Amino acid sequence: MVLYDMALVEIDSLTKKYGNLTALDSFSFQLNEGEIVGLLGRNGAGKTTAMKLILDLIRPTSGTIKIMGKNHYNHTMRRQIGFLPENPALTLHLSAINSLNYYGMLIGLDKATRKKKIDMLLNRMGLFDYRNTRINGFSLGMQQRIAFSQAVMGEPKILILDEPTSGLDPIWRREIRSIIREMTNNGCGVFLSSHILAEIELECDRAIIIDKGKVIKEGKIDTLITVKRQYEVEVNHFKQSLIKNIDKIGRVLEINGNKLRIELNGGFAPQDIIDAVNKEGVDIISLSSFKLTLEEVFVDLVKEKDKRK
Amino acid sequence: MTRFAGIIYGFISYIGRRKTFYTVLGFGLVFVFISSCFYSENLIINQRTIEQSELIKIVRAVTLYLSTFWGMIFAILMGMTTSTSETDSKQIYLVLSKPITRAEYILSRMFGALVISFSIIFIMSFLSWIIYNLRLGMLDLRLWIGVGTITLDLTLVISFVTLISLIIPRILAGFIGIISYLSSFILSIEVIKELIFSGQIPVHIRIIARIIYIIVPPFASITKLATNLTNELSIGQSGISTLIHALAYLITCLFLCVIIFRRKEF
Repeated sequence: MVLYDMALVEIDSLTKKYGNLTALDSFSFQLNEGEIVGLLGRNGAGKTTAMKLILDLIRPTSGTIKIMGKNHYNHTMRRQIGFLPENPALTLHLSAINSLNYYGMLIGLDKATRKKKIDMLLNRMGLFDYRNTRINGFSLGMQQRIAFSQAVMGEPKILILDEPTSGLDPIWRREIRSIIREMTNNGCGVFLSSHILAEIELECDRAIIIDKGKVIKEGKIDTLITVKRQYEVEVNHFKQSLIKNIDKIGRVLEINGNKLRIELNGGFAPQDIIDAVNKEGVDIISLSSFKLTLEEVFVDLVKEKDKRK
Repeated sequence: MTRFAGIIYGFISYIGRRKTFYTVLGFGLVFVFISSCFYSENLIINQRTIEQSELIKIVRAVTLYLSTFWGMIFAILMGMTTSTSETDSKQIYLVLSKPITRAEYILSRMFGALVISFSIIFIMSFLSWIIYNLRLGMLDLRLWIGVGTITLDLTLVISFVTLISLIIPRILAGFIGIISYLSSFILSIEVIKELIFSGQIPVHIRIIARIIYIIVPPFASITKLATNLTNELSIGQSGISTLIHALAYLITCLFLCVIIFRRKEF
């Protein structure tokens, strides 16, 4: 559901330097309505720096950030943002209900709205029975659920989540993912950083891979994980002569039972694979583009970058 | 307004869970109780028994100085905490990601610190007031004029220590707060004041002394002003200059706090 024709977050050539250290280098990106963008990178790659810059917790050395078309320095724009930092420091001395009440007050919600929201969130997060328990008595997962609740409490248009499922069991991970999906269906844009790459692969529409402050790859998840010109073919019966035929249009990289990984030469299309296989009287069960996992893509890219250095 | 109340609530609830608050308050109450019980109605000064009207002035002054001293210690502790407690624990990430300005944040925290410090002075003064009114068999309301005036002193201490803690580590800021408080007592002594503003000392020493007089916040002078106001119901010429000095100091501290805090990175 697109309600807003402008990007929710628009970052242009953002650079942050700490003395001689460049934490973020000419970082540009857009977050649109209903979109989930994953941010991947090693520790110290600049992920948290990017998030802190959007929230005006730190100031850029150069570049601009616009939130829904307005300068991010404008504090009222943060009404549209929900933020969950990594290892969030909560008000441990307060009970779950008082803590959420505190964050609700900071957002500027009136008393009736706060009560309604808090009851709803505590119920959804399975914490209603613990509402009067102080947060310092909570497990890590329960604290994470409170932290997530404060981020979504003001029904923000933009969610910035740093390791949102950290410390959560699979059931609560799924629940958090489902809430994020509900919010994006209502037009919310999500900027998500996680070390669980399978989660990013599963949830995000786009991913940005950064290393040492620089974007090394970005694009749609499907594009990132699909290896160009490589295909996986499953045949009903493998014959050695198949390889000879395929060598005319490309080469076989891997054989695993009846499955072959083929790389096509330039100028040939998947149809040529079908023709080459059928010529040997063998049937194709399936033919698909060869895909890596996001983790494999990430590791390959980072290794390649290190090797070049 | 809700956001302002939220920040104050967060700060007060944080301090309310600290043992330090109750320890300072507890010791203060014991101190006030003991001192209130031990003054004598037959007090003899310079070999003459003083009258009740003079006695009440002394009791008011003692009560004000005692509660202020205790309140000041607590205000220094508060000033050390105002800008640093949430920064050190990284709770500030969640707070500043909400739609509040940095100025709103720091000023609200200072206001919260003022409320807590004032509550210490109020509780101590109230206990003392009850005891001396019972002992003297009267209802003296003038003490509360002094207690109200002391609020200016507390505001000044909190903003001064907060400002210092934004620049240097908080322990050092607290130490500077205590040194400044003690120095202000020395500078408020009439003989020293006269010396600074008279021509009895060499010019260069006089200039340094005047600079120190301006730099050191007029904490003790305000307490003195509060006592005079309570007993004489007038502030006089020196009271006006103290007020101007204090207000100028306060505005400068608040302004600098906001400017520095706005530029901070977390």
